[in-house]
Amino acid sequence: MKAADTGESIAETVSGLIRQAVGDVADDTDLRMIEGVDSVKVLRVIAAVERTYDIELEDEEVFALKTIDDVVRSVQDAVQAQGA
Amino acid sequence: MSDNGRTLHGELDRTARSHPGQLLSFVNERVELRLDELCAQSRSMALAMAESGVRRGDRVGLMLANEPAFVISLVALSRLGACACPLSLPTSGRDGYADKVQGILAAAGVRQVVVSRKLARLKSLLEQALAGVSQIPADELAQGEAGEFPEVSGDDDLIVQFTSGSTSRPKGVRLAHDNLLAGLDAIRLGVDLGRPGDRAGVWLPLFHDMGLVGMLAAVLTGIPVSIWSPSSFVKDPARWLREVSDGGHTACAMPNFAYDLLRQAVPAEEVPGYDLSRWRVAFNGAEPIAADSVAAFLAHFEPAGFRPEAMLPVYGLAEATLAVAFPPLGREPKVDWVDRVTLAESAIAVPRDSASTGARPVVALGSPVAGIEFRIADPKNDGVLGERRVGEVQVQGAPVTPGYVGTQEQPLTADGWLRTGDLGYLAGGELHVTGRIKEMMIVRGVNYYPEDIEALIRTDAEIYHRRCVAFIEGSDTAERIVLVAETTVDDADERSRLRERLRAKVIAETGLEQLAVTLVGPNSIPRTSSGKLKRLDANRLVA
Repeated sequence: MKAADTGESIAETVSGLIRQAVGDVADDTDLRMIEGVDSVKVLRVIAAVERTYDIELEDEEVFALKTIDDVVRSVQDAVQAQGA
Repeated sequence: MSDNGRTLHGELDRTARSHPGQLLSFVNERVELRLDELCAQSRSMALAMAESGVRRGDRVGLMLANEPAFVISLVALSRLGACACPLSLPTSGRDGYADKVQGILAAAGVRQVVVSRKLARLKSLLEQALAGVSQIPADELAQGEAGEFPEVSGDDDLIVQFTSGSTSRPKGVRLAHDNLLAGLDAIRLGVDLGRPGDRAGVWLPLFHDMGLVGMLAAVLTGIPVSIWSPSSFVKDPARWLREVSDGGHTACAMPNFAYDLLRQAVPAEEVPGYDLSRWRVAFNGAEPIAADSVAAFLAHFEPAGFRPEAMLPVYGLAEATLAVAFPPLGREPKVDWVDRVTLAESAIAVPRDSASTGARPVVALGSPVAGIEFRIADPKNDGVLGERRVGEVQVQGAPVTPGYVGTQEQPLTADGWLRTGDLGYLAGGELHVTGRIKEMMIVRGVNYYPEDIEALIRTDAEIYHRRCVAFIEGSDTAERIVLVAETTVDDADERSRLRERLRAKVIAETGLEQLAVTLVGPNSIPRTSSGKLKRLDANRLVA
C-alpha cells in the first residue's frame, strides 16, 4: 500500500469514528464547540481511535486537538512513526 | 542535619527504613519506584536543585504530570526547606492557560519551575506561561553532587496549593510540614490505612489536592501505590476498573462524577467479571455528592462484590490539608431527607420522608477527622448555629492552613476558624453540606468563577458598554454558568452568531462547557445604587 492510500484510509476511518460519536460535522469544526460534546466525549473518541490503530497519543498532544482534521493528522503521524 | 519537628522527608526516610522495597507504580509510564530509591533520588535531586540556586524558603513551581519526577521533586524541595507550588497542566481551555499560570507565579513569587519532559513539544505555550521565570527540565536534575542539607522546621511552608481561586485573584493555600503531616495522620486514622493487603490507587492529577494528599497518605503509610494518568481513567474507565480489580486495590479516591463514569462504562452483564470485593475505601469527595449517583453505583457494582460500606462520602478542602469529615468506617452511605423549601428559604433542615414530594436528599458526611474540629456559623457574624440550622462550615485544627500567600483576603475568622465558603448543617453530630456561599461553581473538581467569565468577554465590541454578568444556576449536581450580556445587536442571525462567539471564547479560555449565553437589550441588567451590576438579580432576566 502506498503512503498516500494509507493516509486516505486513515482519514476515512478516523472521521467515521468521530462522526459516529458526535454527529455529522465538518472536518474543520471545533468538536468541543458542538452542543452536547464535552471534553470527556472527545477523549473517549480519541481512545477509540487509539485502540483501532494500536497507538497511544501523548496527553499534551491530545488536548491540543480540536477538529477532525487535527485528529487525522495526529494519527497519520503516529502510525507513520510506528511503521518507521 | 537534625530537623526541628516533623518534616515530609523525615517521615519518608523513616517509612523507607521500615519498608525499603515498597513500590510506587506509575502504571502508564511502566515505571516502578522503590521507597529507598525515592529517598536516594530526591536527595540527589535536592543537591542538583541547590546547585541551580534553590534555597530554603524559595517557592518552586512543579509543572509535572503523574510521573516519578513529581514525587521526587516534591521530596527534594522538602529536603531543602523550599516550598512546592504544583501547577495544573495545559488541558482543555488552553487559550487561557498562560495567563492563569502567570497569575499564580506572580502571586507566589515563584522564580523557578521544574518542567516535565512531556511538555517539551509545547514550547511556545510554555514560553508564554513561564515568561520571566527559569525553567528547570525535570530530567536534568538527577545528578547532584554531595553536599549538606539545611535544617528544616515543621512550620516551614512545604506546599502552596493553587487549586482554588479565580484567575484574577489566585488563592495560594500555604501548607507547612506540620499541616501536611497532621492532615495525612487524619486520613490514615480515619480509614485505618495500612491494614494487611492495603494497596492504594490514584488517577487524580497530583497537582490537585485530592490526588497529592491521597498519594502521600499511602506512601507514608508504607503501602503500595499505583498511579495512573488522569486521561487514562477518563478515556477508558472500564480498563482502569479492570486494573483496580486485578491489582487488588483497596483504597481509591475520586469525585462523584467519576463514579458515574465507571457505572456508565461497564455494562451490567460484564459487572460480575470484576472483583471489587477487596476495595474497602472508595472516597467520594471534592465536588457535591449526589445521593442518586451513590445509590446507582452501589446497585450496579453489587454483583462485582463491591461492598456498600466501602463507599465513603467525605468532605474536605485544600485549606484543611484535605480531610475534614469522614463517616464511620464500615457504614453504608447514609442520606438525610429534608424539606427542600424550608432548606432554601429558612435555612433549616427539616426531616421529611424520602417518599414525600418536596423532599431533598443530603448525603451524611460523618464527624470530624482526627485533629479537626468544625462548627456551623452564621456567615454574617460568625455566631455558632444549632442542630439542623444551615450556615457556613468553619474548621480549625492542626492540618488547617495558616493562610493564603500574598495580600489575598485571608480565610480565617477573628477567632481563628477557617471559613470554607460551604453551607451545611449538623444533624446527629454529622456534617451535611448543602451548597456554597461563594459565587463559584465546581465542575469535575475544577472551580469556575463567574467573575472570570465576565472578564473574558466584557471587551467584546458587540457588548453594550462592557455590561455583562455571569452567575451560577441550577442544583448542586446540575449546575451551569449563565452569562447575561447587553447588546444593541437586533438581527436574529447576528445575535445567534454573537452568542456562539461568546460561548466559544469562554470554552477556549477556561474549558467551561456548562455555559448558557443570554442576550438582553441595553440597560436591562439591574444595577446597584453605585452602578455595579447585580449578579444575583440578573437571573430574573433569564426565562
